[in-house]
Amino acid sequence: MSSSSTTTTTTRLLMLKASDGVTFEVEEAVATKLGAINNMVEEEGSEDLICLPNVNGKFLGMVLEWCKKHANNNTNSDKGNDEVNKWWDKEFVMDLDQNTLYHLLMAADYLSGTELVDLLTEKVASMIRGKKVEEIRETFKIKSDFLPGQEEEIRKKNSWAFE
Amino acid sequence: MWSAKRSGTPRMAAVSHSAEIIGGNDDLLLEVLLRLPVRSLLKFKSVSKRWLSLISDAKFRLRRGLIRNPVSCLFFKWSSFKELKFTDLNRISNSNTSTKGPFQNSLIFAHGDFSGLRIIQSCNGLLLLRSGAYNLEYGSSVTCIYNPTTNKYTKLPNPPVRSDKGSVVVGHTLAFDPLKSPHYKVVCIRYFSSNNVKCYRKMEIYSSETGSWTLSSASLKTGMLNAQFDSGVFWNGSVHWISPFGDYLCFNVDEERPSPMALPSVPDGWVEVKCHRCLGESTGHLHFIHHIYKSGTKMSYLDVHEMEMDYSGWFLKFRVDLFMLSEAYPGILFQDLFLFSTLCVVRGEPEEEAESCLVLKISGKVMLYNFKATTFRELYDVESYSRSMITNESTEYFRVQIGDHVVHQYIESLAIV
Repeated sequence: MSSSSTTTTTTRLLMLKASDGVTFEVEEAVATKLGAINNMVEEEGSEDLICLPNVNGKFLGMVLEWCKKHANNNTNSDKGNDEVNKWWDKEFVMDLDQNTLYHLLMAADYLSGTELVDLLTEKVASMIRGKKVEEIRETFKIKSDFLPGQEEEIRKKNSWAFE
Repeated sequence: MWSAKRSGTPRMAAVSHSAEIIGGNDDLLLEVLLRLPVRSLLKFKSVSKRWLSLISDAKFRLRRGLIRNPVSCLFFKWSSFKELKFTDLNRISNSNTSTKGPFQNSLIFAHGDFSGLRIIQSCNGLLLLRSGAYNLEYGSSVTCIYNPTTNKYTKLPNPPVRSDKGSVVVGHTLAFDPLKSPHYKVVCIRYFSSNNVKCYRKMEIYSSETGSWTLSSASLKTGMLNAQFDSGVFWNGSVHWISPFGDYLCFNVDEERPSPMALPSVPDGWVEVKCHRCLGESTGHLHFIHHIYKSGTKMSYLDVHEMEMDYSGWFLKFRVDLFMLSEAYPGILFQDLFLFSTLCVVRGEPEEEAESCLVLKISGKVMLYNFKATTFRELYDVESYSRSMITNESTEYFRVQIGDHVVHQYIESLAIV
């Protein structure tokens, strides 16, 4: 990456291996933004290949891309960083389709990427806030388990929210 | 055809599978639910027993209480004492999910438990309701805390009798900040007086945590004789009152500490139009609206000052050039007088600062003026409402005429009363 000897001594590289065998070489400072990887590095050191059997290459790649952007922005100590991060977060989630979004959320949760989980749950919330109850059940594969009459009673209590 | 079908099926399965896993993971589902508007949460209670129990859970309500909700509607008080107009602000951001209030267009306190109750104050999602003349001794009057979103209310006990001589309790103000505590307090002022002794005042404080009233040792000594104690404004842990003569007092509710405060000063050479003064709060900001002009010039401004969180001073947040405004809305200017009532400032969320608006009443209409876009929108036609009332019931017309020009901001909340 950098030819300067001072930076090569400070930026160690980690090797991450996804469930489908795809490997990533990432700067330690970037990957340890993820709580799970930070723990593994602290417990087992960073010499060996880190295997992540619960995330496939596509989503691991996306999570790492997000980490990299945030790590880069935070090294430039401008006060505009927050703005840049916010803008980039918006861009990152803008065109995510449902499939990618939910997989990415699972990956971020598994890797304990708290900030990314926040960002993605916010996106899920914005996608479902205006949905009908029936659409929620369909999305999350939920069957209504209310007794006859119970559901109507709950709906009646909060009828204004359904308008 | 066969192969297309085969390649399609596993992808579809993957989508539903991942959503199903998220939906089945309590931690992740809670994170999603926390980020939903209150209205969506009420709706999604009927998804399943699990969703109902997650949303109804007391811990969840507490966590949700820590997230600030936007102002979604306004209550107008003058329509009559019984009926309150409830008008959707229909913010730009919500245009596709229009927010209606929990009571269609109006909230009617005309029957049953709510008979005779009026809204005194709206504070971060809860309403303080009172019945009876406010300066009468207890007995006939009722004080309620009402959450219109959940349609739950609680009746407060009357303050205990404190003196064998007459003492009067006035000026109820609700102090509720869910970002700091799920409990609320109600502050009011007790006047002690007798024939020989000069009247003195102490604070009575009700706490929802203990369910009881305590007489604070703090007393309000100087000035403020004419303060509008019945229109206290709660912000940042303190209740604020102004008097028509410019006295300004704030009372820190938890520390029971009163302190005098200064209002923004009128610059040299400028004149203030005192009847356009207005003190108010909106989503965590304290505002003082101030109309100043320089006589003989075309300089007339409606300034919205905001208080710093540490009380270090007021700063000018918005300035409305009234002569410019009169070009867009000539009805506001009559000869050389600006005729309007200042109702309130509604702040957009930090990310939606562009939605901050001023609410004015101009020639019988309630207008929403957007500071940034400098555009007007009519919210409510008071005059046509009063006209419709003449035909219905003459007494209602009388009420419309004398009704206060008071607007309450409505915020959706799951707070437990």
